[in-house]
Amino acid sequence: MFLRMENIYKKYGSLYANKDVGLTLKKGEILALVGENGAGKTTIMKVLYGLVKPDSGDIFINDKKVDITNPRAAIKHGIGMVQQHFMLFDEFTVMENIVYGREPRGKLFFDVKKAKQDVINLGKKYELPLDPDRGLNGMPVGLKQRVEILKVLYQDTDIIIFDEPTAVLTPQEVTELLKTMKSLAAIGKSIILITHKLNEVMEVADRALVMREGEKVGDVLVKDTSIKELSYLMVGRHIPNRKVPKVKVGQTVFETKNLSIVKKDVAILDDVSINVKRGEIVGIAGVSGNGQSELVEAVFGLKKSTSGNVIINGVDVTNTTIHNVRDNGVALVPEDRNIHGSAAMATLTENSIMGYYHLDGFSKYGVIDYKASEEFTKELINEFDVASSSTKQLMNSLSGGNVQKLILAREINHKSPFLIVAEPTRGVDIGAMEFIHKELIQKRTNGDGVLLISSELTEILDLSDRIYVIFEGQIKGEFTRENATKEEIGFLMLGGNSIE
Amino acid sequence: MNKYYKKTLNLLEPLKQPAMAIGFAFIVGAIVMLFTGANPIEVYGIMFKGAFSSQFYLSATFAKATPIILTGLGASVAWRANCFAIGGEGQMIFGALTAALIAIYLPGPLWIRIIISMIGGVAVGGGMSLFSAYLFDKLQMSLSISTLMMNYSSKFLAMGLVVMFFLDTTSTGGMLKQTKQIPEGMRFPRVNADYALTIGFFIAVIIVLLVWFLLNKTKYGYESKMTGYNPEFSRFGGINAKRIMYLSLFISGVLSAFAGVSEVYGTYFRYVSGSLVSGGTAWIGLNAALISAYNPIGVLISSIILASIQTGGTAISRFTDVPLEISQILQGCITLFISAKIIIKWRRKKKLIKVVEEGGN
Repeated sequence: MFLRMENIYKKYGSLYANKDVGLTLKKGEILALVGENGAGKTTIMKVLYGLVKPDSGDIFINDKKVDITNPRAAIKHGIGMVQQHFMLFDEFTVMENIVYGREPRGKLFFDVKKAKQDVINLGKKYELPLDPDRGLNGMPVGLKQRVEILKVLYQDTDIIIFDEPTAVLTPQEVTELLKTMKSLAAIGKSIILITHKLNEVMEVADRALVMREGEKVGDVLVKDTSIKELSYLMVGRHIPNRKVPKVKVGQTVFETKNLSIVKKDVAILDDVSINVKRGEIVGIAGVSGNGQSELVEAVFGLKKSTSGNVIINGVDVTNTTIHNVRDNGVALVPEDRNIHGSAAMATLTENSIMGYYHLDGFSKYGVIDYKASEEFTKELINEFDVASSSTKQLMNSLSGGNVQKLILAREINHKSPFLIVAEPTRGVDIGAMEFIHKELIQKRTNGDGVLLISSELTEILDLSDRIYVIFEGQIKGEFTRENATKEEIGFLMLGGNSIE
Repeated sequence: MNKYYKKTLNLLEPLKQPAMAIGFAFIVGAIVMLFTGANPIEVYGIMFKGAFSSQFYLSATFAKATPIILTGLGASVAWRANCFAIGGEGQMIFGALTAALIAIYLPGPLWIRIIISMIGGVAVGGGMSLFSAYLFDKLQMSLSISTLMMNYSSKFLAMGLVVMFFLDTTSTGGMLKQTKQIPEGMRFPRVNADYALTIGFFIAVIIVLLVWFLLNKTKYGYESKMTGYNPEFSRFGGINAKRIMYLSLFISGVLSAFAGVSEVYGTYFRYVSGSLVSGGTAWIGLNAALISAYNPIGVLISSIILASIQTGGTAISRFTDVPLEISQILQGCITLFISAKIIIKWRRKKKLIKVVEEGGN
């Protein structure tokens, strides 16, 4: 056994993040570490990488007990981590990023030539070629990740931890990455893959370690298991097949007419005419970056549209203020929950009243009623089952899924007739995803309209009554629940030319 | 019991940070003193006595703290909203000059002159701050640079104005660059005729409470705080960031200018060129704001402590061989430890944001 972690305990307050967790890893093995958010998988990996000191427990490498107190020690023991959010300098070149901290030295100074050659050799050795002189600015995410991987390999690592590496990648890049992992394992590197995506586990991993509520609940060979079994282990219950009840479709609640944003002669949004009726979930399918963010910003007046109209409940709100749009009955769960959806350093209460603090019941004569706001926050937490201990705790103390639940709770609770949700389940675990989907369907069943923007095609197909496909700012097609097929939508999403 | 204990702890929270920065500074100060051969405990004892021991010293300390409190509040309001303006000094100068000139030259009953002079003074300070906001908004000119530059130009412009048009030639024959005195009936009454303390200090305390209310209870306070935490989230939540910036900078300018006004009304009774600059009042105020993490109650307390280092420092030079500069060393160290704190906080914040983004536990 190459790596062994035994009886790891880590307690935060009264909560066990890790309770008697053990882990083994063989040479050349790919181990998938799966579990819901808050299951303790990040914690155990932080213990291994020296970012978190466990309360008790031991780590053995080659049957020798080791003491890993900081990432430097971890690297010294051959453990490297490919971070989900890359630790790279965009202003630097590929080579500079890779050798950073371990620069080869000439007689006196940094030996640039050798460094470049090192990077080229490294790329050749692992079949991950990269131009050492290329700057990182504007580089696609997949290539940046490659830089991050080479950076880790440059440190002579034998154990590579991938922290949710596919969350930020396009489907093609995902395929590429999984291939890379396999070939790394084939030459003897051991890999630990933290992920939510069970199909990736099935495809690439040899073994899966399942965690739930800080404990190890399963350690199974992938060839002996199934997605169903893994998901059962993860959430501790079977995920029911969702049946979407039929609802009567009502009046149009949201409409854009020929909405366009043209910037420097390029149409970021091109003549978009869509509508959502009451009792409908309308999906917008598309690969990220095809105008979805701009559509949301144009609706909310955050980006001025160059032509066209936005109509909410019959009221034209084109290019007005976000207050006005919200007050006319639009709620928004933004795509990036940490940047646009919440403030990490603010309390749960402060986060919960955003967008609505100016309304009756929350403030009067310019003074905010914090008591009522606290009560309101407690309600949200209870209704949406947000794992938290106090309304006064900071947002950054919640896990990703719980942050998203609170944001959704905030936006749904105000009972606006129309809700826009963008990537509502990105990076959240299965349990939270199921919950969020249920709430969206409930909202629709209540007779409200929902616009669902998502790059997860399965999510779109599962939930939407109607589907628009967006590509390069244009609506490329419209489907109903009945006539939508994955193949056709996928085809249009990629520009309708070819599926690369 | 436990609940009350917790409540007390919450109330003491704003004190934690100033106490730490100041505590560290005193340790460093003690080391320096040991090098000079003095006994730090003795020196600190004298310093403490020189700042707090008698009504006389205490009132001197409070009087000195008054403008520090006000400029500290001014800095807090702006910095909390992510507006890193450092124009307190210039705003103080023109607040003081405007108030003094109106008080001296405006005809009419005294109480009307008081009101107009005060409003005029703070309006000019607020206006200067708004001008910087405008430069930032329209021309993307850095707030810190434009406000800093205005400090310098204010200093010399005010001096020029005084020398050219408003010089008091009667008292010192024009030797000092100062205006005439404001009428006696307009000055802040002293608490005790023998001491320096005027009602200006108590006005400052009331303003502390008002600013506390403004920042912690009002819609504006919420909006500025959230903008400081995450401007993008605030934008999505419907907060008008520009409005918050203009408003915060205006309030900040008004508060700093009032520091100048209170100096005219309570200390100098006239505008004396250079008097508001030499003590570095506005900068000490900024220090007070930083150590207390923009908490108004914390600003009040740390301002008093910073003022006491100054008044106590004078006592040291009177009674020991330790030079007066020791108080400057202490202040320097406090600044240093505040900056260290800011960097640590910034790094921790970055780390926390990262943890959240990873969706980890």
